[in-house]
Amino acid sequence: MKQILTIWSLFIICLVNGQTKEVFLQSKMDGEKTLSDGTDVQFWGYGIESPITGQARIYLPGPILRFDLGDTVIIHLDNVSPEDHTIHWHGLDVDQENDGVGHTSQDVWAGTGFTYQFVCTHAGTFLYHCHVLTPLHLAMGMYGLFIVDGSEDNSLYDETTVYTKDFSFLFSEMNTSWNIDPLNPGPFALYEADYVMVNGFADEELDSTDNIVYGILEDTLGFRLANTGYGKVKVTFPSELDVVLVGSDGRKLPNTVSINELTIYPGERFEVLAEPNTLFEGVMSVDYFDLRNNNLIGTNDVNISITSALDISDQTLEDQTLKLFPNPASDFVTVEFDGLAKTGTITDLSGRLVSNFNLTENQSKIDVRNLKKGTYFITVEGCSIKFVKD
Amino acid sequence: MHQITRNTIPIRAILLFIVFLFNLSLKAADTLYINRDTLTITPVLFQKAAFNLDTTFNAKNAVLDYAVGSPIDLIITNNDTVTHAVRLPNSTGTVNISEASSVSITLNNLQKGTYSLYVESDVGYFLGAGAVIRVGISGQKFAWDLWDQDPDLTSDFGNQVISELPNTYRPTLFTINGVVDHMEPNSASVITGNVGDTIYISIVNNGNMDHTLHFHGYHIEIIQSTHQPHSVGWIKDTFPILTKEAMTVRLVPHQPGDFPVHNHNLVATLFNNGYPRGMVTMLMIQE
Repeated sequence: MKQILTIWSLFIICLVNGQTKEVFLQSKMDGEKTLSDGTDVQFWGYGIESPITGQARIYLPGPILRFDLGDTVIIHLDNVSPEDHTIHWHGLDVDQENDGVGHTSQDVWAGTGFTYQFVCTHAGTFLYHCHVLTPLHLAMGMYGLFIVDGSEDNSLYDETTVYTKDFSFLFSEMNTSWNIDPLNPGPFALYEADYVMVNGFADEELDSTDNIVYGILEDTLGFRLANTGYGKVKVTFPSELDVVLVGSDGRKLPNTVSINELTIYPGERFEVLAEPNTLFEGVMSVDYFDLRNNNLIGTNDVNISITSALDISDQTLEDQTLKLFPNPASDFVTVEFDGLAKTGTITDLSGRLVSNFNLTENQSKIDVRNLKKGTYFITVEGCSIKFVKD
Repeated sequence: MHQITRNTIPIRAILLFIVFLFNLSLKAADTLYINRDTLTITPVLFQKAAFNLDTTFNAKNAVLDYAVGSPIDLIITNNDTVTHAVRLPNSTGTVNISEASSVSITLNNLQKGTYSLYVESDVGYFLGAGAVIRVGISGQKFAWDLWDQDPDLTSDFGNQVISELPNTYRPTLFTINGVVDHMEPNSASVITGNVGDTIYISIVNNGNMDHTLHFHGYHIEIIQSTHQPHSVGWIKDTFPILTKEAMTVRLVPHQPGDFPVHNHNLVATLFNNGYPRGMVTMLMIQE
C-alpha cells in the first residue's frame, strides 16, 4: 500500500533540544489518486519538501504533523502551485498573523511562501487546512492532522490519559466530480459528497495491513478521531471495546464519559481510550451523513484485531515479500525482504523517521531495545508492516 | 408551569385594536409579534418569519433579557395570516395563536441560560420564527440567531403548499441574525471586546438542520445547552448547535485580533456562490 505517507520525508529539524521544530511544506495541485472503485481523480494538498531534491509529493490527506507539548513550531509553506493557498491551524488558537486566513492574516500567493510560527500550548488533536475559498480547497484535499502529544510519554493529554498504542483516524469526504474535473467545480453550494474516507482510504482499502488496528488484550488503545468533511460522522465502536471519551478539540473533558458511539460534526476532534474486554476480530463502523438532510452518504469499516500476541507478519507487494518476526518484540526483530532493496526504515505512527537499517543478503536483525513501547512501521521499498515494540 | 390566556376575535382590524388595548393593560409584560414578510438579499427573494418587538417585520428574531428567578410575563401577538403553534421553553406543549390574536404566557423556573421560544407549526418553524430568551446573563453579551432555508421553498411553506422538508433538502440561504454579510464592524453578529473580558454568546438555531460553528483564535466554554446538556463544561473551538437548540457559551479572549467564526459545514459559508458569506462572522478583540 502506498501508505508511504508516513514516510521518509517528514523532515523535521530539531534546532534547540527538540523544543523548536521546523518543517518545510509545499502546497501543490498535482495530486493523483485512484479511488477504491478504480476512478482516477486529482487532488490538491500538502507534502513535505525533500531536503535533497527540494520537491514534494502531496498526499491525501496531508502528512501528519506531530509535535510535543510546548514545542515552538516553525512551518515554511512554499506555495509552488498556480493558485493561492494558506494553512489554517484549526484549533491551535494561534495569533492573527499565523491564522492562515487570507483576508485577516496572510495571503500566500501562487509562487510565494510564508513562514508560520507558533507554540503548541495544548496537547490534543488538531487539523490543518487551506483557508482560501475553503469550500473548494478543503474539498479538493488540502487538509491533514496535527497532533500535539500529551505531557507524559504515550499520553493523549496527561498522566490520566496514557495509552499503550495510539491510532489516528481522519474522516473526510469528496465530491468526486469536482476532483475529476477541478477546473469546473461547483456551484459550491451544491457540494455533494459521494466518496467517504478514513485517512484517505475507503472500502476494501481499509482491509490492508497498514489500516488495521492491532492490539492485545492488555492494551489501552488511544484513538484520535477527527472529521474534516462537511457532513457528520457517526462512529460505532465494537462492543468488545470499553470506550471512554476523554477529550475534544485539544482540551481534556471535565469528566470522562463511557460511550459506544460518537458523533463528530465538521471540524470537531475527539480522543478516546479503548480497552479490549475480550479477544476479537471486529470493526469500528463509520457512517457519514449529509448534515442538510441526514441522508447516509456511505460507510467505512475500520478493522480491529485484538489477539493474545501478534505472530509473524508478512506483506507482499508486486512479487516482493516483507517478513517480520517476532512481532511484537522487545529486543531484536528480524526483517526478511525478498527483493533488491538494501535498506529500510522504521517510522512511528505519525510518520516520523525513527531509524534506518541495512539489509544483508535480504535480511536484517534490528536492535529495537532503545525504542519506546508502541507501534511502528517497518518499510522496505514500498512494503510496510506494522510492528509493535513491547 | 406556563399560564395561558387566550383571546380570539374573527374580524382582524377590530381584533388588533382590542389586542392593542389588551397589551396596554399588561404593561409589565413584554410583547412579541409574530411577523412574516418577503424580502430580498440581492438577488435572492424569499419569505422569512420572526418574532419582533413591534409589528414591523425584521428578519432578525427579537432578543429578550430577564433575571433568574422572576416569572417572565409575555404577550405574544400573531401578526401573521395563519395560526401559529408556539413552543415555550422547557415545555413539551405548544400554544396555538390564531391569526391576529394574542395570548399571554408566564414562564417560570428558567435557569441561567439561553432559550428559544419558537414556532413549531409548519410555516413559522420552517421560516425561522424563534425569539431568543436570555435569563440571568449579564455583562458583555451577544446573540446569534441561525437560520437556513432553500429560498425556492419559502413561498411554498408560506403558502402552505408543502409542510415538510424534502428528503433532498439542500439549503442555499444561511443567515446569522437575518443577514448573510457580517464582515463589517457594525454587523449585529460581530463580537467585539477586549483581552480578558468575559463575553457571553447566546446561540439559537432557528434553522432546519444542525449547524457547526468553528472559532478561530479561541476556545469557548459551553455553559448551558437545551439539547446537549452533556456538553456543558466542555471547552471547544468547534461544536454543533442542533436544530432548534439554544446554547450559551462563554468566551474569555486571551489574545487580541480579528478572527473569523464560521460554520464548518462549508456550504453554509456561501451565498449566491460567493464566499465568505452566510454563516461567517467575526471576533474583533482589542488589547
